[in-house]
Amino acid sequence: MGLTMYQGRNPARPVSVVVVSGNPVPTAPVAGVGPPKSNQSGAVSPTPTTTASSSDGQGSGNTNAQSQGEAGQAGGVSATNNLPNIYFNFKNFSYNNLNLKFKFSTDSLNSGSTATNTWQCDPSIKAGNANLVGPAGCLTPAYAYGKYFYELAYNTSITNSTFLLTPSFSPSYAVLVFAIANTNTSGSMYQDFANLTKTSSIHKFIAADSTNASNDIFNFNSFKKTVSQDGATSQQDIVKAIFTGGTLNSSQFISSLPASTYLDRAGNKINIISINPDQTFSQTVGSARNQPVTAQLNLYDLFPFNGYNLPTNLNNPTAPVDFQITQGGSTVNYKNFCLFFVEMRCYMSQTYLNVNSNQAFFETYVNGILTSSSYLVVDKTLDSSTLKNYIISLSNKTLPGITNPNNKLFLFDYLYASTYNRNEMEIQSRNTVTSLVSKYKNLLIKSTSDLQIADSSKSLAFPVKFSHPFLNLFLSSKTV
Amino acid sequence: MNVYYTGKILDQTPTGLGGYTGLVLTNSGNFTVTYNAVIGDTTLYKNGNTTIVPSSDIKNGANTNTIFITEDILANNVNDSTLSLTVDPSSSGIFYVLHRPFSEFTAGNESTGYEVARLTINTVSSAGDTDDPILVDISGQRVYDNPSPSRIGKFYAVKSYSEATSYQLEFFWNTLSPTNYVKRFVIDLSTDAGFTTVIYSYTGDIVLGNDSDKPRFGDYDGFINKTFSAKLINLSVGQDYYARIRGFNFDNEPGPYSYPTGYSYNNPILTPTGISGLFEAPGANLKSNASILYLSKTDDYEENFNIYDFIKQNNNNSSDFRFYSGVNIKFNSSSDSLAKYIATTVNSGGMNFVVPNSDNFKYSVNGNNIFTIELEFNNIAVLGRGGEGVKWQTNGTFVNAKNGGPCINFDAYVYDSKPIEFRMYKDLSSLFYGGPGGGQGWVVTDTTTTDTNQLKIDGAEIESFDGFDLRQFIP
Repeated sequence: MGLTMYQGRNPARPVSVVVVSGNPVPTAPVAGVGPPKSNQSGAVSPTPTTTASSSDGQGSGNTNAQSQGEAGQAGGVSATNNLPNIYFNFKNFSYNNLNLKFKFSTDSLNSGSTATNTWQCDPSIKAGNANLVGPAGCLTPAYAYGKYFYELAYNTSITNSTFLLTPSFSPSYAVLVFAIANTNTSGSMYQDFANLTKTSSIHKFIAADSTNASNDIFNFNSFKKTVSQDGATSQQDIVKAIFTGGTLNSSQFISSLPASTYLDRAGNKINIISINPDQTFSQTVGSARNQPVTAQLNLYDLFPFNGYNLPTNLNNPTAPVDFQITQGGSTVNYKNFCLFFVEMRCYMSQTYLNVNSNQAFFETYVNGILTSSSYLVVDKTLDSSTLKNYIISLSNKTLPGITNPNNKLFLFDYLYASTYNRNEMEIQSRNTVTSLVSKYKNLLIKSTSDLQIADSSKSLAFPVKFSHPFLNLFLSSKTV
Repeated sequence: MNVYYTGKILDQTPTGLGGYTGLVLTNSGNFTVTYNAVIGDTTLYKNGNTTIVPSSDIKNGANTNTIFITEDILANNVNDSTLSLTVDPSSSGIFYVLHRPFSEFTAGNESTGYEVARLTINTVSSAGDTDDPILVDISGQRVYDNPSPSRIGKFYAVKSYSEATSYQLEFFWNTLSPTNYVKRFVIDLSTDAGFTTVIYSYTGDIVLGNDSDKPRFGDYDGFINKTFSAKLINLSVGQDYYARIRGFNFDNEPGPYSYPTGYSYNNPILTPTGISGLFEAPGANLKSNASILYLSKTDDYEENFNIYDFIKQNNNNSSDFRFYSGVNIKFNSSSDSLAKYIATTVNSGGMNFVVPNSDNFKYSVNGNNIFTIELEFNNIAVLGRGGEGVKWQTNGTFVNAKNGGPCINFDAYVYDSKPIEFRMYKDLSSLFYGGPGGGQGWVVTDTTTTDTNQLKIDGAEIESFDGFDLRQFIP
């Protein structure tokens, strides 16, 4: 018989063994590379054996698998004698984006700013009535780690339904920086992350004359997925993310497409409308103007992270430190704080199927990781020369039937740019995010100055799954 | 027809030095003109009387040709009494009248005086026409009393450091004028701006030439084409230094002081006051401000990389960094893929800073008394080595799993009570993973009554998370 065991939290190398008799044994957890144990230091000593168990009862056969000894601790910062002072941060990077079509920022906020209902569009980039406006006082200034930003009140939107832009086939990108936070103290980090993403109607950028354009667009969804491993099954929280922005997101270009059960494309929106969206699907739909039309959407998992869990205190190098936000003179400690840098890219490519048709590609990158990609076939003969009205909206809303007023949505930056070719678009989009990460680096490390990760006797621990994806640190703590 | 007649008085030229006067011939006609110049014999009288100076007083020449002409004052063997100059219409040509140098003499030597010669220039155009000659009576004066030196210019200092010579200042300067006749330069170095105490005076003498056709000192244009330099070594790092320079003539009379600008590199572009020698006193403070050593490293793969070895190699393999208060290293990959810095043992980090015991690593510090090592990561993966898993022994016991190795391994090195501080700055893609710990061992036991054998399985070892994105890892 065959038995495959995964070495605990080390997913990179499955260990295959053959047992001469008996039944399959479920995998037992092994502390391989997870967060350091508080009672561990240096090499570990043997501990009593642990009998493996199975969550679904399939381990009740004729063999027992017992773990022996404890796993070693992951490496971190080290030195042959005392540790030196080591500081860590993101590089400074400034990028002068010359192709912006509109831009919203919180740069002008300061300690004297008060609640408002208007996020002003930078008039030097787009003049006219381009501000995003919501209910009175829906935008409240907030402050953390040297930066000011807005909180958007629960169940509200700031919108401009007369946002005039010139539709363009040119590659374009929108970048939105926002954060979701709450003060939850219970539940696993994964459940917390899934809970945070219940704030799922956040961004809309769509042609005003698209079908159902005035309806909410949902960008996040989380659901439990049954995962089978070694005969055992478990439920995991899976999060999907789709953000779409650009003038291609318009019925002027995109012919009418049927909706799927969980994803709304009827309104020419690549948009989650219900729970359990398809993980991947490919669908050929009917024709428009006697041309073959296809559409495809691929969704990828958005892996959890949480700035809250990042330790910053050398006196307690493994303890997570709350994310602190000051509003109205009061400081609130958030147990969960996720900062999202979302890139919404779109570009056109001629399809080989018909010279009159192009494929419009839409891609979502969340914190540098691709979470959705899709294409729709569009008619490139349609007019793109005149101004068109778009609806642009930022919201703090949940999926229908879900309430979650404890989730706080914070807005930092929102911009849109058009470029000449796809390569330039990709470079500019990433440069923009890089500069915004540099701008908000002190929020990512929860420190107003470079984060000290080691002093003469201690170093911090960085369990990678808990810190921000752009940080990408995995180090254990060390005490000299 | 007319004879064009004029006179020209040459600049005074101290004995032993060279001098020249340029003459410009302008062709304002419609045809190319060839000018054939001939200078006649010189008559050189001793100063104050009508006695002719003997030929023996003339360096490599006769007393009848102490004035001569040339098109190139810097050419060797310039000894022309004739030359031919062809000038296009509406153009000009230039040639020079020079003093033949005198031999060495001492005070009281009578070989000073007045000299006269006639320069005759005949012209012929390309059409074959000729014009009357141009006659120029040349007169000159050889003087024994040296003119006072004028201001020295282009005076600047270049700062540098080496382990052999410690902090050093290399000065550069120029006489600015062909008639700035100096025999000696003196640079004063002081630690105060008022030059209250000159801690060192450098004296540099003009070297006697050995070309029989040239003036005894310098060239026919004096020292104008020469950049002088002097290097002062073994100076103290962090000490205030001020310098000034002046020239002395052959009568040991000083010229005015000039003050330097300071640079840390060669061939700087000088300011107008730096060029003219009018840079305001006391000049630049030439203190050694310990600077940052900027380095970059572009490689795609390194094992157990030691930052100390790298910066030492880039410091002429010297462990003396006292000219620097810090190092900045930019790590880059050569492609879109992550460059990997990998530890091959758990005793090493993916990136290390380890100073061998045999090395005396010395450095300066910044205003906070710290030597800073800044590390900038551009698309770099730094990976520790994984620890071994539990190992079963033949006697049925097991050896515990080992911890993973460090991602970064930096010594807390201290020189002269001055600590080192590390600052690590990453881009979006760079990652830092410690070595994964070794896994637990396993015993698989058949619980039936028919078989009591146990299967003992060693714990797993993962060498590193090379190629694995931990951000996409859900435990």
